[in-house]
Amino acid sequence: MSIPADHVPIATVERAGLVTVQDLGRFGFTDVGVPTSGAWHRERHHLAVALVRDDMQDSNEPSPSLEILSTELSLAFHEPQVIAIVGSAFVRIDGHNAATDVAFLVHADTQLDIEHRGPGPAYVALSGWQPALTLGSAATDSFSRLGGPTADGSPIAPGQTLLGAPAIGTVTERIGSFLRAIQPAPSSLSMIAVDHDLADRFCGESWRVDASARSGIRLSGPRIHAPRPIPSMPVVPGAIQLAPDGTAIVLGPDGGLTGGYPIVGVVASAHLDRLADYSIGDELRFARTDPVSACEQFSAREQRLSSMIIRPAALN
Amino acid sequence: MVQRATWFGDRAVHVQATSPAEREAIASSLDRQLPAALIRRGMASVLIESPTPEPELLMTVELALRAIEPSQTQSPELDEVRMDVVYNGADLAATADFFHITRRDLIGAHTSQTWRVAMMGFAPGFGYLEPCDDLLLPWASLPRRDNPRAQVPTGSVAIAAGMSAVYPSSSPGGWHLLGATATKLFDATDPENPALLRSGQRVRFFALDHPSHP
Repeated sequence: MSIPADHVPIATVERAGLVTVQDLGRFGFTDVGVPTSGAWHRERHHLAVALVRDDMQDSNEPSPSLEILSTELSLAFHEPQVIAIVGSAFVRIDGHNAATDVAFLVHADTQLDIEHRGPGPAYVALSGWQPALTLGSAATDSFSRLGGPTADGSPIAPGQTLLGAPAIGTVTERIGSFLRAIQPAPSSLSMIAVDHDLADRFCGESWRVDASARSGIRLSGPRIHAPRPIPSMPVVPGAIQLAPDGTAIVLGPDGGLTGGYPIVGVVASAHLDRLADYSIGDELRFARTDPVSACEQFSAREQRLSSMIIRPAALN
Repeated sequence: MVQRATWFGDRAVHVQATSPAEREAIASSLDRQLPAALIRRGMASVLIESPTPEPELLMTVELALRAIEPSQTQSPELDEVRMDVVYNGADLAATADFFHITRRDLIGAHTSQTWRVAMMGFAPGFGYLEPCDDLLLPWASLPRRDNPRAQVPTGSVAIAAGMSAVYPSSSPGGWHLLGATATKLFDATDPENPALLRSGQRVRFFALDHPSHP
């Protein structure tokens, strides 16, 4: 992957837990065995990027973020950047506490230390960073081993540098942008039934999280008799599979494209983000919804997202 | 040709197919009728996927299904893919024994059988190839390996559970290795056409060297 001439090192990774390069994912290749992948918590990724970048819609270059799933991330900056962190984390700039959910300027030779608190991933966006793209996206897909700094689906590692166009002149007016705290109306985790009988029994129970990763979350609960495996079929993130041992698997962004386990239903797209915030031991329940209501929930979320960014210029 | 289209979440619709031929007829027709959607094949189903939730998707698919004439059962002629294979796979001998035939006969059957890409998945560029026309061996009687290998070489040609496949890159693999091909099946640097195989496409294997196997 050739690096554009005007690209320079923007920052160097000093320490990194499980941190991957993400964006909104690869579109249009699921029919040749390439998953979409991309940020697990779409909303936080979108907000972090929107805080530091110019208007999202017209840029055809996908806007990247660093998805912090565990422990920490430390970056040493070589160029001034407008940055933002969205998600549950402690942030320090040269040792001083800094805030999340706001865009701020860091100078060259600044040290950024982020301690991940969770639950769920936190996202870091940098105004000038432009990672290499694989099939039109920088998303790190551990399942198909695509994307990421070494283009093989691996997370970022200390010593690697984030490259990009240093010019921040165009984005200085982003400095000070912050998020209007609009909490979504509380609602149970919605799913659309595929096997209606199984879905009724599944939604009637409480489930406990046994494992959680970008490939999906595994749930254990009361034994629900699983019908015979089915001929292998295409699946999507959010598909709820019933394994032979009675556990359920809700597929994540790196959950693969085909499956042979019976499908109970699919989580509503507007609620896929919430799956990223469950930790081992959490209890959760699902409620059935119909596809059209789920589509309305999704567009309501899109509306909410677009009204959450407040630019400083709008205040004076 | 009556199929039931059902919602599969809020941005995909599932259509059951009763035979590979019907699956191909549905998928190839929907490929033409719904260019904006992603048409993904399963072994006995077709999934129509939209990038974002789409309340009209089910109705759109139902209308498109009605437009498929019953006579339209065969898929369009995508050009056949030919793959040269060196049949020296680690499981060649054991697999021949399983079918109680010689290695030469196993290679003969595998290369004479016409295969078709039924479904794509497992890995980028990985096609599940089903036998089409008459079966030259009871391929489906060979189960997957009891213990999958942690790593199979790139280009491995393998069979199991009634299907053939070629591993586009080295990855874990639970199928029986018959040989390997140098053909490149996936190129992540070519966004226009990253995968060699396309669903519905016919595939033929050709033994590179004249096997001296008994």
